[in-house]
Amino acid sequence: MSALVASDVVKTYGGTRRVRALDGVSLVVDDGAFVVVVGPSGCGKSTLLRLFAGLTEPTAGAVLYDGESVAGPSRERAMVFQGFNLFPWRTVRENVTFGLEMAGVGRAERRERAAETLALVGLEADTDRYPDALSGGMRQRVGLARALAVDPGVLLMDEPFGSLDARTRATLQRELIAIHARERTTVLFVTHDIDEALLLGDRVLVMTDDPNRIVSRVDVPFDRPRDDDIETTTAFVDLKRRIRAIFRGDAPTVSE
Amino acid sequence: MSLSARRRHQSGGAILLLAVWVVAAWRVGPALPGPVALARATVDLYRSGALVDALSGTLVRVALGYGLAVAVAFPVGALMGVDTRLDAFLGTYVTALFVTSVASLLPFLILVAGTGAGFYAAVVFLFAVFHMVLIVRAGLATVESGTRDAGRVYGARGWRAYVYVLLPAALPHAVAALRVGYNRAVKGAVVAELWIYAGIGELLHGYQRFSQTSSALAVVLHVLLLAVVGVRLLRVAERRYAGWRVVTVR
Repeated sequence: MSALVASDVVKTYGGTRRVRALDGVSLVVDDGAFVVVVGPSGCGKSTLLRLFAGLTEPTAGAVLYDGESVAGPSRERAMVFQGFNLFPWRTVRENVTFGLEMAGVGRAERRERAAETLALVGLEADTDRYPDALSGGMRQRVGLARALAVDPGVLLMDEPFGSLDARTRATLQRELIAIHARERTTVLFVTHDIDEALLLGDRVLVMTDDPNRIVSRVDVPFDRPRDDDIETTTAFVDLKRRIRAIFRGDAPTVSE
Repeated sequence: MSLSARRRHQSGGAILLLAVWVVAAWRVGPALPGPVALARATVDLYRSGALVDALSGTLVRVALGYGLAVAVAFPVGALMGVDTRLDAFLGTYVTALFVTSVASLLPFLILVAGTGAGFYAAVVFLFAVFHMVLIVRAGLATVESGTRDAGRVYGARGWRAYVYVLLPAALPHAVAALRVGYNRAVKGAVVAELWIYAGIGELLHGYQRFSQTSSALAVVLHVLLLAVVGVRLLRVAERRYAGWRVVTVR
């Protein structure tokens, strides 16, 4: 079963000088899969995610979730943002339970669910703190817990670790891998970091700019669970080199 | 700067000001009363009851006009912050009246509203309302798009987006608007009273006529106190309810 499908999607912005943010993008994300879209800044990868989130509409083509056309946001498609986008006036727990509160879930059940998801991201001791009192890594943990709390069908992750330092990023990558292994939630993850894409994804879709479309698909051959050591293997380095060559435009854009 | 360092500097400033005042009063002579003369005048003002009467009158006028300004500015500012059509419709006029000296409208207002309670309410209202509308509008218009997106993704749409995302996000601006509005309201009340020779205005004019500078200064200090105490109380509310983001308005 395919959780997410994009079929020949075009998205243009602007009035007289129209910008083609997406220029004929097609992709399929199977249920339970971890798919990473990797591409340079401005290639339209965040726009792609916003389309699946229902935050914007395609100019042409179809965007489907679970076989149905995406019409507006839904808790079934939870999003984790690069800039965290937490609500500073709400405590960690209140941020995490926001989606449940909007869905009319009772207080006791919300608290229970918050405790579960905060334990999953290692923040059980910080439930009553405000986001401003947390580090960047902790804030993104809250962002992840907020997404997991609504028990979504798919997690849309927009460069979630892009603004974190290298060590925190590595820790959160490991935790995300563990959470995905346990929960089997479908993940569509967007990044500009090739290492991150190969470390996390079952499949990596390579996007280029001008035209903004997916030009290559790489099925990542590494078994799970993966550890940091795979980054030094020859296979990893070869794949990385190939994707970089695709970015530069001097490699054939054939699918793996 | 740490709180204790700040307090130290504040005390230093107060001592310096007091020293300058004592020296200036000594040099200038009877036209500028010193601290002792001021204290005596204050005691006399309280004994006669003149100050309490005038201040309570002013406070009632401030409350009336300020309450009206809050009741109008909050919904209007909130709607202007989210509705571009309404913002285009009203924005130019609000901004024009914001930069206009409201004091220059007073002769006109006397002709229209007379010199009764309606006049004071109108002046205080006009002094406060435009600043408050613009601050509340800014609060809603500057809610980050990422915050709105997060609200939408997790189910806050329609009225829920207002109640659960936009209004809480604008709360620091709302408290700042209350603070600035109160300050403006006190100014408005004093200006109105100076024009009509009522309340504090009447006292000040009277003391000026008979060169009772120490009494005049005592009244001015109480007006200052009225403004500062109100703003301080609103600052406490700000820290209590919107402490996660303090909006500075100059």
